[in-house]
Amino acid sequence: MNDRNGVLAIRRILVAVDAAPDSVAVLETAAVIAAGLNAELRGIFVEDINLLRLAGLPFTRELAWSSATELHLDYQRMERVLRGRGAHARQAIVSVSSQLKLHGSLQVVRGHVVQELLQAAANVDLIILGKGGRAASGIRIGSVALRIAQEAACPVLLLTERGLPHQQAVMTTFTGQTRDELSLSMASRLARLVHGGLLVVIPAATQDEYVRRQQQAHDLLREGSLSITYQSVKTPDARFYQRLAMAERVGLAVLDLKEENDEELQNRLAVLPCSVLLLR
Amino acid sequence: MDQALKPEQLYRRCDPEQLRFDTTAELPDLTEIIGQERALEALRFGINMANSGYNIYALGPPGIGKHTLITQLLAEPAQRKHPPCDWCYVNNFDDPRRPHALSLPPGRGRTLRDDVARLIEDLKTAIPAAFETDEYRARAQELDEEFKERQEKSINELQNQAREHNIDLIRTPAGFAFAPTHDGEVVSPEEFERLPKKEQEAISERVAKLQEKLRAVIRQVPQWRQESREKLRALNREVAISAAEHPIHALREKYADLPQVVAYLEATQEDIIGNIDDFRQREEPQSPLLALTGEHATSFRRYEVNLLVERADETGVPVLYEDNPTYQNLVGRLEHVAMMGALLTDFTLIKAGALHRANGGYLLLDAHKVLTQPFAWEALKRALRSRELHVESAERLLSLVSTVSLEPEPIPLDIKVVILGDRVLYYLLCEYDPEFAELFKVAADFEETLERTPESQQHYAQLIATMGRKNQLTPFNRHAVARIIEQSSRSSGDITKLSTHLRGIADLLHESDYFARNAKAKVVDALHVQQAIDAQERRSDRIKERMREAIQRGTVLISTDGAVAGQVNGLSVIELGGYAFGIPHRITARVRLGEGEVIDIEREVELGGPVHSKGVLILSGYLGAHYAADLPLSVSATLVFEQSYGQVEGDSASSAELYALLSALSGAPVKQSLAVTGSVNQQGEVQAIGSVNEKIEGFFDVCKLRGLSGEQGVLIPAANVQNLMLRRDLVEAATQGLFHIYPVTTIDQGIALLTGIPAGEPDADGEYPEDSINGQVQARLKVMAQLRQAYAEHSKDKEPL
Repeated sequence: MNDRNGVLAIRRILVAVDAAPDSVAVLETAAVIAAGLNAELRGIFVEDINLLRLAGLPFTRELAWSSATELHLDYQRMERVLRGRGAHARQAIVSVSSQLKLHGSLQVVRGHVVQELLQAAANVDLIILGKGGRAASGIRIGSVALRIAQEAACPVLLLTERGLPHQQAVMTTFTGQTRDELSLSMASRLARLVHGGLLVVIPAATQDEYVRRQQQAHDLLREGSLSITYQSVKTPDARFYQRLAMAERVGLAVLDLKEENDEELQNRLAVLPCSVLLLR
Repeated sequence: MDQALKPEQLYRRCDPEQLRFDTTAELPDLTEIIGQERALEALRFGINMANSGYNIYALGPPGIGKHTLITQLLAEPAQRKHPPCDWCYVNNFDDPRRPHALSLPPGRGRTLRDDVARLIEDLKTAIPAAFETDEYRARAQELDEEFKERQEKSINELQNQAREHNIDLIRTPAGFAFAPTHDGEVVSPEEFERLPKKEQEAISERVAKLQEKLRAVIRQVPQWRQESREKLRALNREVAISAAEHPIHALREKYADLPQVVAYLEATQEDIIGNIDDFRQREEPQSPLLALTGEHATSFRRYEVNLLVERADETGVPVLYEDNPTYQNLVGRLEHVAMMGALLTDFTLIKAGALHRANGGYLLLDAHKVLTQPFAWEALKRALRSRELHVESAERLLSLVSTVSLEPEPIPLDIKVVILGDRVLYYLLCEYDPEFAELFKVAADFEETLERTPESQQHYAQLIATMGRKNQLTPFNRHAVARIIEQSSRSSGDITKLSTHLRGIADLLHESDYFARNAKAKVVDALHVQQAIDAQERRSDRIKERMREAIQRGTVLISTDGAVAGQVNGLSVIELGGYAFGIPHRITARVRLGEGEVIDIEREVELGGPVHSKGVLILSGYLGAHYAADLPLSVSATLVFEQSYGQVEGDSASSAELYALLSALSGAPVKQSLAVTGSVNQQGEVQAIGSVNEKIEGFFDVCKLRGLSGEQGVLIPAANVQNLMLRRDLVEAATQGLFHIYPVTTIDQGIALLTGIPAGEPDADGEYPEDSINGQVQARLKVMAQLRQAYAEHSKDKEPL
């Protein structure tokens, strides 16, 4: 998916809208990105078959998160709720598309969420979805988000409830390898989009190595007007990124998925308190 | 008529040759205060007497120089003392309704105010900065993450437990639910139906148990959130303390010698830390309504220092004159600001009054002003009695309105109040205000005159020189000074005295200077002084002139020649707006047979005052004792002030009335060329009266208008000779023998002058010579007594048996 200049070309963006009320925020952020990158926005709303099945079971009860009260579940009600959400999502995408003058559409399908999303993602350049579970539930990486992150073939943007905060930094890692150039260019594009700074983490064993890599990054980011901070580190781990993100008010981390295993990935995504863009 | 006074007795000149200078420019300033020894002694005593209650009341007529003298006298002791302390009002963080008063050494009040203002300004940037640090942000986010981790962990645990039994925790639109799964997918209802009953039940049971556990987890969440918030609050406090501690500590060191201030700073620190959000929210845009109420701005007002009284640049203690002693100007005011229709106040709106500003020193007030201002007098007394200053709004005092109000901590009062006022007020206060005597123990009574001696005249010249220099007037030569001294003597009403009425002198100096400048003179001469005196008189003599005109035209009947029985020219004085002039009055008497009463027509129609009536009643005493000691006084006499249509008061015409009565009884005509003044007692002695100069001049003016005959003159009580300072033209006429002033000590002397017939001395039997006035009066009274007796017997005979 690289064009010849080592710049990621993004023409089609898929945004996953789910039943959660805060997914409208995800949709809006996705629209802004689509407008910024001049891409087409395709929305997808999956009527979760598991939810419908659940509602059909005789004994199930829904336990409300905010009040711990028990709510009765039945198939008709669940269907009605999902239909309503779908309509709501459609309305949202139509209105935001006309506002930002972009090409937007929404597809509603019924099935398994992950499967449907992966299937739809096959034809796009970027998939955007909410990162967390329910905002207040404290779940920092949702199961759907995790599976898409692990399995999708295209880059994945996982948004926190804050989306891509304006004027906050975009963080990426640069080791001097060619594939890191892609991360660097994507991070600088998004930093311009949100009018924030660019924070480049340079893992280096020695000072010389650090200086060399910094120079290299600096040469790649020739275009001015961006505030760039370089951060040297010997061996970065998940906690390091977490602390750095907190201290530097990072709004988005750009990660390159290399040979990380699933568990490592889950941990990294969980501890990063910001939105994450995963590149492959 | 050799009894007439000599011209030099009519006017005591001030000989310019006695004055040892050419012009007042040569004279040094007068440093001492002349003629006020009693007042000075009292003032010095009052000023140096430190005990409370020794406040001073300076009594004397307005314009006598009380204010000038007291200010001059206070200047030196005020300079000698150390300036009193500064006073501030600060917020009472425990009870904002009762602001604290802080006293600081002079000049440090302002320093404290500025220091605290700077501290708050600094903290407005330092505190947000402390919360902007990476350290704080990281710690705050850590707390948030900790909370999230805690939730996630318990949910994950539950999920793992569920998965052991092929049950999954599923997110639903509103919360969570558990469902049995098969290969990661929720079992469909149809599949579930197909399961054996037993298994269905087992699954339901497990789901119910898991739900119970989930419920427990969810219920824990608010508590965790609360704990997380508590931790954040503690962190905020820690950050705030670290940001605020250093600058406040530096201030506490600076004011370590003032424990009150240190306590205030500690309270301020506590309040700042407790309200740290006020400082953090600084950058936030205000809502329009909030901006309207000023709520945001007022939150920082509580840290202000209200510098009530400042003594930074002063030396000595204050000497303050409060020109407008209203209640609020005296004890201070509580101002209010209108906010959304409500009236609000706080400690920054406490304003000092004169008592605050003069605290530690001296306050001068006008008695009349302070007594006419509502509540001012009571408030002044309350402050002096309690020796504390309470600021209380007048509305609250009256319970007129009950807006939000304050009770500021009272400030100790150490002050000496000097009240300046006239004598009447002093005596009235002594009489009717029981507290007055306790609070104002020193009376400084100002003299209106001083002895006229060569020394005092020289001092007077010096006083003129000093006043002239102070007001940049043209210098006065000694003739002018002599003329001013003479005029001063006249206005004091005594040739042996000089007036101490400084305002009168100052006015005359200014006016003389005006005439001298108009004439382009280099020095003020006697001529200019005379012009000023004449102009003063001219400005106020419209009524006098109208009355003279009425006499001249014959509208008011006054004879100045010829002789008429039972008719005498009396003299009265009219005082209008501080200007007095004399005017002659015709007094007539008529007698007939009666029962010995003298009827005063003025009294009958209630136009005569009590003193006047007293004078008339004395007449019958005189008549009875003098002529009819052993006879019934069988005369009925009527006395009247002809053409008098207003109130008559005073007894200065009683001798004239007696002369008229004697003339009427004796039938001897009275010379109309003479006028009479003087009161009389039962013994027939003529007694002194007031305003003798004006009275004489009143008659002289009438005579002069008609042409002086050389016969005309005035009879005055001999005791009044020392008051004579007559006008120059009158003295001139007397010198030429055209007008005469006769001093009279007894009625006998006077009647002889008026009728040209001797009064007559009684012989051993009390009988007067037949051809004397007294003899004729006695004879007439005898006849009347006999007549009355005859009538009485006649009517008795006729009485039926």
